[in-house]
Amino acid sequence: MIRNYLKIAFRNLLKHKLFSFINISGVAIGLTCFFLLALYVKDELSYDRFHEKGDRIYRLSRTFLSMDGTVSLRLGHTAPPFGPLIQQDFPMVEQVVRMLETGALMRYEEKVFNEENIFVADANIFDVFTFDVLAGNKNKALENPFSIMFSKDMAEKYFGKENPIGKIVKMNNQLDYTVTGVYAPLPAQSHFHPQFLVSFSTLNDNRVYGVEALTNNWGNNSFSTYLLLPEKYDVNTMVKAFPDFQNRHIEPRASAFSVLDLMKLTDIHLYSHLDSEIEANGDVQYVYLFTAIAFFILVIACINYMNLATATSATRAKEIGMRKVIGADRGQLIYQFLSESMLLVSVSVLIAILLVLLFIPAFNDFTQKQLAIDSLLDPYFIVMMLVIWLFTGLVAGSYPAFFMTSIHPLGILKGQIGSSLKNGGLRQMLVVIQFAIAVVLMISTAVVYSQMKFVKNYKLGYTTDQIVLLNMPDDSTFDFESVRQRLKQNGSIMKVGRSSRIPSGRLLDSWGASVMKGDTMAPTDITIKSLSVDEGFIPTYKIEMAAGRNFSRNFSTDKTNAFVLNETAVRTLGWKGAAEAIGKRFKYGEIQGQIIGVTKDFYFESLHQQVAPIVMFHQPGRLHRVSVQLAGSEIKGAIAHIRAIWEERFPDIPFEYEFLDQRFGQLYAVEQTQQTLFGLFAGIAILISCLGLLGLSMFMAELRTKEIGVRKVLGASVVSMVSLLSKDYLKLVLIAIVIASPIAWYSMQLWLENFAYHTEIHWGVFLLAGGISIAIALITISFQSIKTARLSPVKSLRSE
Amino acid sequence: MLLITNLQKIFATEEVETTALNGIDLTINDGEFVAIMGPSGCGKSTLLNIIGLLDNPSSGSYNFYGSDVEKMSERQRAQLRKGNVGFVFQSFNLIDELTVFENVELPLLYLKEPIKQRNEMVEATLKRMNMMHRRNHFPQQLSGGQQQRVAIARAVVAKPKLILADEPTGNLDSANGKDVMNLLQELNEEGTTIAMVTHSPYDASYAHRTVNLFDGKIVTENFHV
Ligand SMILES: Nc1ncnc2c1ncn2[C@@H]1O[C@H](COP(=O)(O)OP(=O)(O)OP(=O)(O)O)[C@@H](O)[C@H]1O
Ligand SMILES: [Mg+2]
Repeated sequence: MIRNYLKIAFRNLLKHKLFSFINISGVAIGLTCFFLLALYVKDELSYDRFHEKGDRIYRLSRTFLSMDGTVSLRLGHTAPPFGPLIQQDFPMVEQVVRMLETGALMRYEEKVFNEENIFVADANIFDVFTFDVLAGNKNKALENPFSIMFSKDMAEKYFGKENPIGKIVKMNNQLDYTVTGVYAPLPAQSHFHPQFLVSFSTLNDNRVYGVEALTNNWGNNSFSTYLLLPEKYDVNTMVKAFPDFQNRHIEPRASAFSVLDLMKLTDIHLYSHLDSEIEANGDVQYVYLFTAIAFFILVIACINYMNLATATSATRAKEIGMRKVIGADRGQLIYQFLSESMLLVSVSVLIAILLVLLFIPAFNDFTQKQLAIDSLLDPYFIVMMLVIWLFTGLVAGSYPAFFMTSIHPLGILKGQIGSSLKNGGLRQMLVVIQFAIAVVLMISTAVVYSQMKFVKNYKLGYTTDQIVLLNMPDDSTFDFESVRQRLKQNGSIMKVGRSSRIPSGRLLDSWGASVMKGDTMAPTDITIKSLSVDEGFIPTYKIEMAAGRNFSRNFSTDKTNAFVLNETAVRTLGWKGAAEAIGKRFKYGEIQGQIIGVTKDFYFESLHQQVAPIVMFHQPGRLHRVSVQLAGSEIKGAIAHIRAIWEERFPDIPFEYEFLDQRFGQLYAVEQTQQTLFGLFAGIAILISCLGLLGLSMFMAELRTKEIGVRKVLGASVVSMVSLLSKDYLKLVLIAIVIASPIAWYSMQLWLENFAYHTEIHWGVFLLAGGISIAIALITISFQSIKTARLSPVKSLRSE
Repeated sequence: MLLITNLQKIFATEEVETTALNGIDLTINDGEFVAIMGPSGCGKSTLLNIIGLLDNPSSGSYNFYGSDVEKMSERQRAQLRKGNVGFVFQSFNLIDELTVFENVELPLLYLKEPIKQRNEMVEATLKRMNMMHRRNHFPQQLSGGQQQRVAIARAVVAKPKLILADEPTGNLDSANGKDVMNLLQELNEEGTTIAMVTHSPYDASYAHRTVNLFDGKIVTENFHV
């Protein structure tokens, strides 16, 4: 019997080639999107799950509170003493691992590279995290000071085919390290990717860090600290004990400004968005969003199938009626139609798999993922595909199956089906849903786009054009002033400034500040972010002064006792205007001095962040970011000039540079990707919906051939016929727009709140999305309705 | 034996109620050939459909070979119909996407006959209808008379006790019509009970008995000898 079903299904597919094409391609496109998004979501969900003890590993994080109790800083890193003390005070903690990330100039014989992702790690790291150690002794490799392990990639880069073990490498042209092992690099789905592991005992050396600092320095929160806890341990009991723990070890009221917390390792990638993270994390919101979009597109594709299959069922009426007469019961007929849709969906699944294979590289490109084709063979994925196959087949087939088989056989044989099809309420609702989804996606695209434009055009309060960034050592061994003079000899180089951080980065450092209150200096409870600068910084970025003056070489105290604030700092400190702050005494950390200037506010961080109060001052040893402002078109010459000076001054350090505007591009990379994705899926949703609309309008036109013929015989014009055939659909699209607009408005309002500074949603956006969908729908429908309306009445009547 | 007593059928639409059948008493014996005649709209098709278990009566009783069927669900009727009743329609109602062979095979598929028997039965029936040479053709490739022969083949392939024909010659020329009537007569002579709706007195003359309907009632019955 199933052969009979499939045979007839297949012949029907061939008989209605266009409908089959629309159906199969619609479902295939929908499934392709679904599978790609599923791969993406699965990848996001699989972070850090390869660690065998992953569900027992917790990361320690530290939050700093301002005096008024508000959060001032949330760090995924903590100070080095916490780890050992926790192990000592909490007996249930099985292991503690600390890691310190750093970068360094790595040298092996003639090979020198600037390396990131060097992790100084406790020797027991392999007892906690799962590494595949390829060479060396896991248990001993990170025991001795100045031991270093290479990832396989790095070992190949430095040593080629030679055996890495025992080789000596030099870091920062200072200290020698012995290679003690090689490990496989961690998979992409890890929240950290060490290329090198250095033994923690190295830090005991005073030239590197020093035992003293490791045990006392509560301020250097740059160590990732992980705890291995027993199975089923309730971390809340430990977190509750943390305040006492801190008061015991740091200072009696430490818990008033410092809060410790724990997060499960496997939650870090999707749920942790602290001010410091090892790498940029994902966001569970996107997992939800993409899952929702995936289902939406699949639903749209299923709706197409339902609508078209139901519409084409008119031509199957005789068959259904006859089968019933012969003795088929309803269950058998439902079974038949479901197996038919399963057949079609199977074809679509096969096409979708091919399309997925085809599009994975492009998809990886803009999601910045390394989704592999072989993950399609992952058992979970196969099960999911089977489920989706069944789901799609059943959902898509259910409506036609139940609809067609519910009609009385005699009714069907009499042609009743045609009339009940012409005004199918459910079918209209399905079209409305389809278009509503497409319109929501379109509006979202438009809003993301306008926010991106807003961000690009936002007056940041400083220039980002033609600024070259360098990373230069800042120590007393050389005189930067002479470097600056040398640089300026090139005609294209206008200004040179130095700072501790550069715009587009985060401002994370802050110390306590004191201002005059009455007659005495009193600490304020306002968090003011610090930015170390030299006198060249403000001019280089063309930051405007609101009052006072910039730092100057003409005042010797500017290097030691002068502060420049931004307007937000002045405002939050309670002064009425910029001018009032000038000359005021100010204390920041241990530095006492005077406020010599106030800048207008500038948007140093991304527009996701509110402008923070900032204090700028000179702090020797921290000015390692050099910004060079260029002018004119001789960029190449200027870079060559910088390189020549660099190579003369720092022959041991490779010359590297970047442009500030590239960094700005990366600042909104996530949103750019979103914009592309929204746009893409909106396009696909529209495409599938229109395919459906096309098929449906063709079919309805066919069903109404006789009506049209009669109307024309009675004298109706082509125009009136086209509007007759189109207006029902346009009505549906309009309803869809009305439903979609508030949903889109609300969800995009939420999205915009991710930005401290954002555009308002313009009503034009709704008009645009509505206009586009109406236009597309109209074109789609008119394609068929004009053809039908122009049909000779004789012909349309005869075809009955 | 089919036993109909005081049968009524009322079609209720939103605006009007139509009494299509009004107090029908009719008995059809095994092996009988009954023709049903009457003016258009008098309820002939309605009666035939109820006899064939395609529809339920509104009231009255109907005993189908010993089972009371007037209260049966559609599913139960479908079950009873399967293999017991064969239908022939004026407009053939062959399935366009199936070949001649597959159309005829269809009732046997629903009866879950094993493939070997199925092939034998279909071939035997097609031979008998003289349609074997067309077994792999699709309905559109056949003439009207040929299509009706295939439809009859489909109606009889499962060897039903009862064949119901609603104006089987209505769409055919007289030669093809005669052909179809001869086939029905042969089937009846082999023992199949036949009820046939017709407008043609000539076709009715093949039957043992003619039931004349008017306005939902049986007005006369003529016996042919
Ligand atoms: N599904 C239905 N709904 C409403 N009324 C119906 C329905 N089917 C039949 N009727 C009505 O019942 C009456 C009898 O119809 P029926 O089809 O049995 O007539 P008939 O004798 O077969 O006519 P014809 O010779 O034209 O085929 C008619 O008045 C018809 O309008
Ligand atoms: Mg009739």
